Amino acid sequence: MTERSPRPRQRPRRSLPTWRLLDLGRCPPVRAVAFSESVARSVGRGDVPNTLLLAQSTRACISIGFHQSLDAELDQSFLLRHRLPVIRRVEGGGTVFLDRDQLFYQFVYADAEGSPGGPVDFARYLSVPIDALRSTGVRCAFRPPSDIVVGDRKLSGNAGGEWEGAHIITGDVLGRCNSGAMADLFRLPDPALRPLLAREVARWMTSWENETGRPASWHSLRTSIAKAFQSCRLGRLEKGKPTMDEETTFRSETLPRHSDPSWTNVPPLPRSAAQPVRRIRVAGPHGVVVFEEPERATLEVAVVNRRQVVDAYRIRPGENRGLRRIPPGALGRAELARRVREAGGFD
Amino acid sequence: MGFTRAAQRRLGELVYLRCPKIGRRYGPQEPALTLESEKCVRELTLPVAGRVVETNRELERDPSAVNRDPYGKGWVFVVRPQRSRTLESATQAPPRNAR
Repeated sequence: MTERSPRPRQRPRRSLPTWRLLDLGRCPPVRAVAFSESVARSVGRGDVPNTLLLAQSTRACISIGFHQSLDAELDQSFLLRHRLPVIRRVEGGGTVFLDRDQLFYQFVYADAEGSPGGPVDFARYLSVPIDALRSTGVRCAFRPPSDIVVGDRKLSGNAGGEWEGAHIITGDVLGRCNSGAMADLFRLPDPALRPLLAREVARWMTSWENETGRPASWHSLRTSIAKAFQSCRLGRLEKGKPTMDEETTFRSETLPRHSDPSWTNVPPLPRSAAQPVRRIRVAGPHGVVVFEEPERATLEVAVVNRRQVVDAYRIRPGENRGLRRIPPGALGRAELARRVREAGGFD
Repeated sequence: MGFTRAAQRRLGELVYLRCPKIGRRYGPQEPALTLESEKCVRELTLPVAGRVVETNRELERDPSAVNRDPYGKGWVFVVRPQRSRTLESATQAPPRNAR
């Protein structure tokens, strides 16, 4: 008599929640970046289902993270020259240059979908744009905590936040990478740092066009995102429109707030003497850290990968200004490496 | 009030932290603390209703102290609970030797 193997227990199929797909198309920068705030209010109250927003901006703008200070982050002459709107988003992360060659996506969901008090599950939600990009021929992957990369180069940056009782995960896909503008917008303690930053941005950022050799097809990416959303089993996606309430909230609360300088320009948080004068994360673990060296009246510049100094420079104001390389083993390089480790690098 | 070692690990490296104002009263589950970690802004609620009597302002300069030393330099604030019995429902960290 043969023993029958036990019948595998069938798991009850969990019915997928319904999500709303809001495609805002091309719209002004504030709407593209911040309409999600009025959606968050509706989602938080339970008036509408969780929502996936897609949008593209009609013009270039700059978005700074919730805790960033406009004055501390951005080069004022660049802002005046280009008259770019600056939007302080409600999500975290760093400063980003946004333009017409990008597609923004935003997942807005109520607490039950997330993990209250715990970290945001970026990997779960970003599987949607990753699957969509792969289906269009871009071989990308997730890099913790919240990037989409091709090899070691960043194609999409993402950040999370909470607003009016709902969670928001926001991100974008770069159709074309404007590395010049991305490097020019930062406030720097010395202009000699600008070319170094531009080189680092070009090195560690990529775009759809770089990867495929052709301009981005936004229509096909939108369709792929909607398909990937269902195949990733986040929910059933149903096309919808903004509600009257959402439009009213946007017009009467979100727009006026984003035009108010006291919202956009918050004072910088205090900095201890041991912290760098400037710390710019270029992409993921790659960035540039600048320390003041008051005794020598110099700026010490480290190009950093995680906590490792991969290149180092010194700028001596008053002399022939420019970057002077500090070679490995030279006096001061070990000390710079120690300061970078203490400051946390870009883990 | 502060973070257990497990909680700070789950949050990841803190980059910004704004302490509540001293003297302010908070209801239970009312957001009292705004922080940013691993590219994510979070608001954290108080487990008990009470008044904030002391805050660790050093954390606003160096929030990573929460990650380095959650039970020492990483303390966040002191709250005087409104009623002692509300403490019963508060989350308690495991005993030190169990951490």
